[in-house]
Amino acid sequence: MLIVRDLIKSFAGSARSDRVQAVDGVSFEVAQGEFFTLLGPSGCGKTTTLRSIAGLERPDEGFISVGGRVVLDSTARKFVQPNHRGIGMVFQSYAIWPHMTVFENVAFPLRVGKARFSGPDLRSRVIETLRLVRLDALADRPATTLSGGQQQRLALARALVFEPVLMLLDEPLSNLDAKLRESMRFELKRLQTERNLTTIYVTHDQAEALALSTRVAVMNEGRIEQLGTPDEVYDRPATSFVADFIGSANLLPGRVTAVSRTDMRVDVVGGPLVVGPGDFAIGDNCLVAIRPEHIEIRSPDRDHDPNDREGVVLAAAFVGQSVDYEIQVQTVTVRCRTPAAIRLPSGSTVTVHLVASRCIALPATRERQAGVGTA
Amino acid sequence: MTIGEGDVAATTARRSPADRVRAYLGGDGRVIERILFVVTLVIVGYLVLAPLAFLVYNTFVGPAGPTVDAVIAAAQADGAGEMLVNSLIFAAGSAVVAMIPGTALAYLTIRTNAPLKPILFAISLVPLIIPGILFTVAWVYLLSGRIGVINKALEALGFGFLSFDVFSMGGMILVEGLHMSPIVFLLMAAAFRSLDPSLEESALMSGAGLSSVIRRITLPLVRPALLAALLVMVVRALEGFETPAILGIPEGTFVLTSRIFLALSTFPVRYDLAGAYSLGLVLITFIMLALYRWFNRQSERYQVITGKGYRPHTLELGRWKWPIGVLFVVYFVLVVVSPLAILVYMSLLPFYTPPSIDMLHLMSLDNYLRMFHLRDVAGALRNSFVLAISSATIVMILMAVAAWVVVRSRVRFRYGLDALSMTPLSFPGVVIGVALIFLYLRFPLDIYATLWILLIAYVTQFLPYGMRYTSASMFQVGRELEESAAMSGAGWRQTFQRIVLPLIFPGLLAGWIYIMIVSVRQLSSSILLYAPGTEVFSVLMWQLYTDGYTTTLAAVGVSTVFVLMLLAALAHRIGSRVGVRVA
Repeated sequence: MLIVRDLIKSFAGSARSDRVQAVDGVSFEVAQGEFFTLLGPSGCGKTTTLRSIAGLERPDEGFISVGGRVVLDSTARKFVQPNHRGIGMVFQSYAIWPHMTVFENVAFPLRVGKARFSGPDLRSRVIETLRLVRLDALADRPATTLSGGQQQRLALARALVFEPVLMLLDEPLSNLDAKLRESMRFELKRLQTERNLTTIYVTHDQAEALALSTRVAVMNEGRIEQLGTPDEVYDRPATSFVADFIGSANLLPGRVTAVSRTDMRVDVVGGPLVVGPGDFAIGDNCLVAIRPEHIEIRSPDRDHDPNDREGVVLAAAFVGQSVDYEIQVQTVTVRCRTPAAIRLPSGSTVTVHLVASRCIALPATRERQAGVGTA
Repeated sequence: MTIGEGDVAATTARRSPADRVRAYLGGDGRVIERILFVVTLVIVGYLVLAPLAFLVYNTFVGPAGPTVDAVIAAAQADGAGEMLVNSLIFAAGSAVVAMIPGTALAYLTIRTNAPLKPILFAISLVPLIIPGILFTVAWVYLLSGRIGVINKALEALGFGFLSFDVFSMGGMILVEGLHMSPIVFLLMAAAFRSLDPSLEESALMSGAGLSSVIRRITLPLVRPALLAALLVMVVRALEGFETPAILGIPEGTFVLTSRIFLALSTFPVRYDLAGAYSLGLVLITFIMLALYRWFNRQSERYQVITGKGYRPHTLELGRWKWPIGVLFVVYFVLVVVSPLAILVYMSLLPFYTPPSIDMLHLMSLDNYLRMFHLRDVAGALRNSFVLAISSATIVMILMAVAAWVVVRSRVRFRYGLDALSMTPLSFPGVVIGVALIFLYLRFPLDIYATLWILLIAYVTQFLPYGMRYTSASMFQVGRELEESAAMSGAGWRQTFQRIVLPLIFPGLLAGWIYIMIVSVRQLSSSILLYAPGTEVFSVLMWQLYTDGYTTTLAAVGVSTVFVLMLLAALAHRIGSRVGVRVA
């Protein structure tokens, strides 16, 4: 359905000779009906990638085809204008035209596009689309009188009305408050599945990405760090960046001491730690990633387990269903999340248990190694 | 690798001009951007650079080739040195006279709970609605040595020693400074408004007294704005024509603008002097405005352009509140009431006589009734109207497209178009007049002594205003509003027509009205370019004054002020919605 290959885009930086590499060789393919998410922190190149698909940016190099039609091919100097691509897009600001009514906003694509409509045909299409997002009752209102959530649905209707082959969503929920965001999330998913619409979604919110997507591409510094289903990127992060960005895992530096088919031993803060299997050799440096919720706090009188460590509670934060602790374990600070029932005062000595099956050894990247000493 | 690069170089070298044009326009849909860029650049470039080029050419190229004769003649002309010194004294003096009340009143209005604030904002429209020539003429009748109303009153009250003749350098400085001071008020009010009150409050909380807060926090923070305002005032005074012409020429006190005017309007006509002095003047204003832009960038670096208002906290003046209110009233009387009152008074008389009870029975509306029957008035009215409408329309359409190219497109050198459009800000009206005379005396196009040459002068002069209005409104239209139109399948023309134009329309309208207003006021270039039959309103007023028809002039002037006031109120209303202030 969508093929993106070797996309490269740089922008002029602050200095005259400086170029900032916004997108640095991104490739992926999306199948019909997929909900595909580009996830990453701001400045990772996700929005530039999306805008390149839209045709709003012209990449320096690369190839993009949509539904079998080539819209960008830098080697053949081919570039199709955004208004000829037939792609629907919802912008972060919604970009609702303030000088038009709700109806006029949605009717616009049918009046200017390739397939033009008029009269009752136009009206019925617009109203049908507005009904889909439950705005049909507000059709004659000035668009600026709508609430944030309604504007968001209007933007969606406007992008849907001309039945695009592909739908692009640029952080569409980021301007909504938390409660509305959650309900819109379900609404988006409903529309997408109902219409079997191929959707590319850009967000920096990992919860949104995991909840909505069939597949997620985690991006960092213009590259895709990992591409997989939500389960894959959450449970089996491929890099320390992914582990850190999704679920803010603890990253503990260590050295591999034993390797077997089912698990490995890694020398981490005060002794060997049992971690899940990985592609490592004895003596390799690595980072062990473990999420806060996979570190258990245990009473000290239990049988000793190689994955237990003694630590001192530094700080606690009650966040509702759970309590987050910062615990000093020898030279490193780990974060762990426990059910709210367990309350420990600062300064108390505890035993933390790092669940072996949840400990993942990741290659120690150069950037990470530099940061480890200070952690 | 090297072979590939060689191939590219070879093909580039072989490309024909037509190929290069095609390659520049490209096949990537930025064709329209580039065509619009080139077209607007050519038009604006011609309007701005051609007169300048001819000015330089005429000054430095004589019949026998390159020469500096004109410069030497200009330097050795009678009183050249004195004239230059006068220009600087006049510019600096009136800038200072404008800065002091303008800044103080702006501070009091924005930062304190002073009473009667609305009248200050009303005063701020004065330079716009009272043309310089009327303001100056009014002051002649208020403050001239022999007949000035204020001088007479002082004498009658036994304060004759205080009387002051407006026909002097001091008088020129006073009148020009007063006329410009509302502009300082507007500039400084904007600067004080964009200052976060918590910066001052935290100084107060640190134990500083009010005077040291003003001295050590407020003034340093607005210093770039102060310097910028000062520069603008110096430039405006240097460019000013009406005051030095009316008050200076009779006394033999010349500045650059009045000297240039005289060089062209007395026999023998000295084109060489006019050209050399014009070039000098434009050089000075250009440097000043370059400095101004630099200061402005310093002061705006951390400011939000949309002017998001801070919490309106004001300082309590306490027992100073009403004395300051009185100060406002005095300023109001000085800048608005007295000049307008004397004009109204004169307009009701058959001939000018200083005010007294006896005059009451002579008063009538005859001047108003008669003025429309004068053939000159009807002609000037028509000319001014045609020029106002056409110059405003041309400028706004041209600048709407240019501003789109500057703000939205990604064409290389688009900021050059912006800079070029803003360049006429440093062209004094007199200089544009001189340059266009040079240009169209030689040009094969026979428009010299027609309305066309005035139209070209106006369009050139008002390009910066058009650019300011259109680009400010364009900035307020989010880029995504256009991008979403593209994603909806709309092409450039449809997007511009259906999205951009409707959204910037209020800004276009406000700018259009503003240009109408300034074109009616415009005297300094019109006075050099008009011919019998193409007199405009400001020229007519000038002629009425120099020919001694002062009461008719007053009637014409009062009517003009009335019309301009209506237009200004309209422009202000619309302009405030798009975030452009009228000044």
